Amino acid sequence: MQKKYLFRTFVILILLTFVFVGVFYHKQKEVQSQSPLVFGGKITFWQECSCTPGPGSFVITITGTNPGTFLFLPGRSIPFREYQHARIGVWALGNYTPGAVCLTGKFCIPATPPPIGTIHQIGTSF
Amino acid sequence: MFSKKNCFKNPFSLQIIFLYFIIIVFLILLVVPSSSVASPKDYSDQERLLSFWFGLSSSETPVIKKSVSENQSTVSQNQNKVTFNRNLKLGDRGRDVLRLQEILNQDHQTRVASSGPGSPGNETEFFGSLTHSAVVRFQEKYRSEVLVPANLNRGTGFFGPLTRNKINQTEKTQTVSGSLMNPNLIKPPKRDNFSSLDIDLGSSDDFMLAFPSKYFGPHFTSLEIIGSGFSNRVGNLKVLFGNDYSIDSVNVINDGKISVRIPSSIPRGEYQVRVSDGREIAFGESFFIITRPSDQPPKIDSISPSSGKYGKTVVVRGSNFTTDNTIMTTYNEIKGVVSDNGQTLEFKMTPLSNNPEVEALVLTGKSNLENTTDVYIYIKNEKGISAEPIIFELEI
Repeated sequence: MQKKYLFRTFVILILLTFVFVGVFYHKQKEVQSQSPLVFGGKITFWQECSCTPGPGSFVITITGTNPGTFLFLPGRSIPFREYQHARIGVWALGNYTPGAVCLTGKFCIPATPPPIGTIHQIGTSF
Repeated sequence: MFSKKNCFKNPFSLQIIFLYFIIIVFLILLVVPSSSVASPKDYSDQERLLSFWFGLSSSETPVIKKSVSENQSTVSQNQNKVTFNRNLKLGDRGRDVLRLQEILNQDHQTRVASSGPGSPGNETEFFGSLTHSAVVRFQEKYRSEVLVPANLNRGTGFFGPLTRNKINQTEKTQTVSGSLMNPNLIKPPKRDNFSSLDIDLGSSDDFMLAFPSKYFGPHFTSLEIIGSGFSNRVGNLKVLFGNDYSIDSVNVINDGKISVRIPSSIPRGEYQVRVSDGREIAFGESFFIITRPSDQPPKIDSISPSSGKYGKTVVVRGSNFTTDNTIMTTYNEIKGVVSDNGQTLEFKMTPLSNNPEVEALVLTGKSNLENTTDVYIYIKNEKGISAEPIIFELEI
């Protein structure tokens, strides 16, 4: 009888270990995925996302040190000086979280190149 | 063995173990918040990078706008006064955090940091461990007013009601006494942290010009240019002003920064600025306006109306406008705007050039989109660039 309880206690402990490790790993991943990544370089392309996410949102393509195409979403993306974040030719620096969609044009097709993330903060030169 | 009766009698039955398992998983998911595993260190690298640009710029060059984000404390237009009306803790962000750091930095006992992010002139919008420690020191300095009423012996670093009241009082006193005229608060943003920026972005051999330290000034102004790939081109670097002028005497400060002095041989005016090593031209370009020593840059006081659709005629009032001004907006530049009296400028909010379909809908009133987006407006002319932007709420 005691052996049976010992075995079941052992099973409980193993399961609990898996649960704790799994939950913390999951949370860690969640935090990592929410941590902003850095972009930086010259704005070389601009396109408005007229369908989705909606008015005022646009994508910019950055060429340079940390390049990519990113979605600027009013209310979620925070602009900083010199606030030229939709102008081609200026230097931009900021951070973003992965994941974004931009549909545009008469037929609401995905913008090309597609954005790789949503801008969290962006500062620019003149 | 698996009857309900047996199952609940025996706390070690398989069914009960399974039930424990489900309950524990559920409880753990409820109890463990994401933030508990996100230490301030998660943000430290980001913060080092972003404070370089965002922290400094946003703190010292406020935007003329009626309100700030609702979840932040009230920050006045001149940034020298702030009423803290929310609690702040590790991990929080906002302009009120930046202001808090500025206030803490005015007293050497509560200084956030002596150098780098958080130090005087380098305040950031992130409430990290340094700010936390500074708040602890502040609380312990004003122990009788902050800690004793809460039955605490040691500072907690939590910027709660008692600490807020005290710091609001402190700031009020300092404002009256004039000690807020600390030069650290009004000096232009320093941009000398590029070395850390360069590291964060990944050291690169790329030859690039990112941006200058300033955009206008008279002859003999010392101009720093931020970029990368400068140190292995020492001796060959030239800063080109337009197509006709070149400054050969270039001081290489580090791989990411050079400086030149604007010679009097270059006539006044606006120039495209590039950097060359004699063989290739650095990626990226900027501009610089050589002004008279007596010139005062344009200053914006107001905009009317402050919102509207594309095509709306807008009047900007201020001073030091000329007969040839450029309106620099978030989206575009409107050139050749004339001011007859030097105090008013009238122009139309022009459509975004590369989205004619949306503009057509908006201009014909057929758009069913109801939203606004902030357009930041600066004025540029031969005297310089307005120090602060003004916001026009564009209806789209």
